[in-house]
Amino acid sequence: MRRRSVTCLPLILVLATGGCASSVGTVRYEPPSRSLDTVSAQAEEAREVLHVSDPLEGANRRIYKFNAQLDRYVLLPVVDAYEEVVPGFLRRRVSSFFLNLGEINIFANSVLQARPSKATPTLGRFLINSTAGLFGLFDVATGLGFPRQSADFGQTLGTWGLDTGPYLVLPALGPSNLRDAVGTVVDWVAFAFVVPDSVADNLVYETVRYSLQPVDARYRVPFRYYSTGSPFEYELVRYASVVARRIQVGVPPTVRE
Amino acid sequence: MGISGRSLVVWMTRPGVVGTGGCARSLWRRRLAPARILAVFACLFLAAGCAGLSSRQDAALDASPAFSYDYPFDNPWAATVLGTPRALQADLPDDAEVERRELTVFEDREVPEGFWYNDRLRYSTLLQDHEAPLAFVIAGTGASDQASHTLTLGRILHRAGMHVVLLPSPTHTNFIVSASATRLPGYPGADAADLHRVMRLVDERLRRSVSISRYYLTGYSLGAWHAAYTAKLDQELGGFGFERVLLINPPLSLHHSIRQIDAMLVRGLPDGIDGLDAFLDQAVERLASYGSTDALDFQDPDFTIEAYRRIRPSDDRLATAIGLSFRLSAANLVFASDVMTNAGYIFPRDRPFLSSTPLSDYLAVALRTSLLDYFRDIFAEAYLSRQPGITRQDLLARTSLSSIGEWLSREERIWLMTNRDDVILAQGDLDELLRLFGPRARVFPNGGHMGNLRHRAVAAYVSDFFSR
Repeated sequence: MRRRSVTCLPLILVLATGGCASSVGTVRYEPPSRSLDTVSAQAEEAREVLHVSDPLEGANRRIYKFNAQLDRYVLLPVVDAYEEVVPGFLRRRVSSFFLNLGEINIFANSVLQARPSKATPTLGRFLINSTAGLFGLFDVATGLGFPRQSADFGQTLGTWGLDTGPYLVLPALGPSNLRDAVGTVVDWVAFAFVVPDSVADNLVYETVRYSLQPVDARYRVPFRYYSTGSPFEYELVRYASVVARRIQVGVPPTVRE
Repeated sequence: MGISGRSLVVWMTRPGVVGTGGCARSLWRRRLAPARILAVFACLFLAAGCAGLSSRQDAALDASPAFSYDYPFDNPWAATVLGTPRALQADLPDDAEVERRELTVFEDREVPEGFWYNDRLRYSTLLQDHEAPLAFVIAGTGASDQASHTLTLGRILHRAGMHVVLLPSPTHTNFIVSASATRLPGYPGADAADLHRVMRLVDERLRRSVSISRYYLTGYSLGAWHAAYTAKLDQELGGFGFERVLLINPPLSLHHSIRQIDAMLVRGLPDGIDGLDAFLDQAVERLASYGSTDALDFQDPDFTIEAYRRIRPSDDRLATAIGLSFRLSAANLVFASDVMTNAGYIFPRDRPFLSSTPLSDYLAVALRTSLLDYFRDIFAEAYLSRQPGITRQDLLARTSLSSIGEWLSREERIWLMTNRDDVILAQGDLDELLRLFGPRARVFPNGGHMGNLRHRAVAAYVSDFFSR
């Protein structure tokens, strides 16, 4: 379990160094006939629309493409096979089961954020779904008026005022930032501590966690790379993910001067 | 011809493979899933609204379900963005197998590494297991074969017993890169030739596995405009001989409609794109105060309607949202065309286009580029030099269905379906369309631009048109 989490750390270092190497470029190109100067009186301000600071853009873009290829050649074929073999009813039970396990982290982070309005329903959900919902296979609690809350350690850090750091595209996981990447690692480690050793060392548990869970996680996300049809998909996803995360963390938008 | 605000929502959230979207409600908790992120981004346009809607809309929402035409939104902007409430939608079963396929159109086409995922044309099929007519569906501006409206049409026609082939719009990046001979979309004759070539290749392939009795053609929005020119070209070439052609919410004139849509964009953005971030920031604020993002599910039309009722965006905001979604499609089109023709218009001519090339500055320029700019600066240049003797005015005139009006009014097999309040039509356009099609026009009293496609009565009309 723990060795799994630790492997993420070198990853972040690779990301950081990869970015430095690729951001150097002083080649001058013949200016296009339509540029920021020709479409706006204030080129510098015009540039800011939908813009997000991305100091590691070179590395991020390469990882974005890597993720798209991973999706195309590995993850989506597996997900397709999963959908082919496993009936929808069972797939939903698998999703519910893992989402229920995820409540542990949601609860812990709701407490760390000092938000009883999130912690209380989450505790209730976990208790109800783990018992009446047959170990989380069924999400009974949502039907009873306790919708699932959102909390993770990146969000917790954000709640207490920690800045996001640079935008990052994480291998396999997609858009994030330095703070949330660290948060992801912490959530993994914390979860590993919570699961009792007797369970964690169980072969069935290990198999399920490292094979079925990633498949389920990808299965649940309808996003498909390049399905926006936009040559600017990287830019659009970057902007949208930053805005969406800002809302999720609950930090009010910074109004530009 | 513009994709609607609602299209944008769906366009950005739509699962690429049908069948995986069912569990979209269950969000990947540990971090925001990209799809959700895009959904939120898309809904920002909607949420940016101010107060000021009449309470009439609320009453309209409770309209009793009957199998007549009872589409509830009389406000065309709201209709275009919101679509049809679930209770009034045609019952379109999800079980039809939508298969995504790929096609190499030009063997020798060189595609820059930055478009590595666009090297082949992507289209979709919904097939019957017995002999049946084949209907081609052409998507609207910037839309793909699996855009929401395209899929809806596919399901309607498949349920009515046809093989269906869904094609992306010739203005979609994938089509420009992989299937456009000129790589400069917007010229009726050239686009029709591209579409016809693709249709022949697809037909050739399908005939190996299914039997086809006859051919139909339809398209929505700009796709309807394309369908008209494609039907005419087909007749000239002696190809499929489409027995029935239905044009759904077409523009009369590309030129008129682009002007309409450009005007929409600035209604809620008086400073143009310069004000976009402020517009979106305001939207973010409203969304944040609206509640947790977890409650937001913009794939559910009823949910979008609920958000609309609470946030109550003004008509100006809605118009801007529609204008923005169209502008984004235009930016994609112009940029893809620029890169593929090496025109040096927005992207430097001598710069390699790679997946690692930062594009922020070009996006900032492309968002400030109207299709009218594209038309003037690269499109007209290219087509005028290819056809000596014609003027810019001639080129503009050819983008109107009036230019083939005489032929259209003669063709008993070509019908029109549109809405009285379609927002992409300029003043006088509807009258001209009605003049061209006469008794072969079905005009619904409301629905905005494509807002009513999923309505039971509308879906039934489409279905009946091809099966009667």
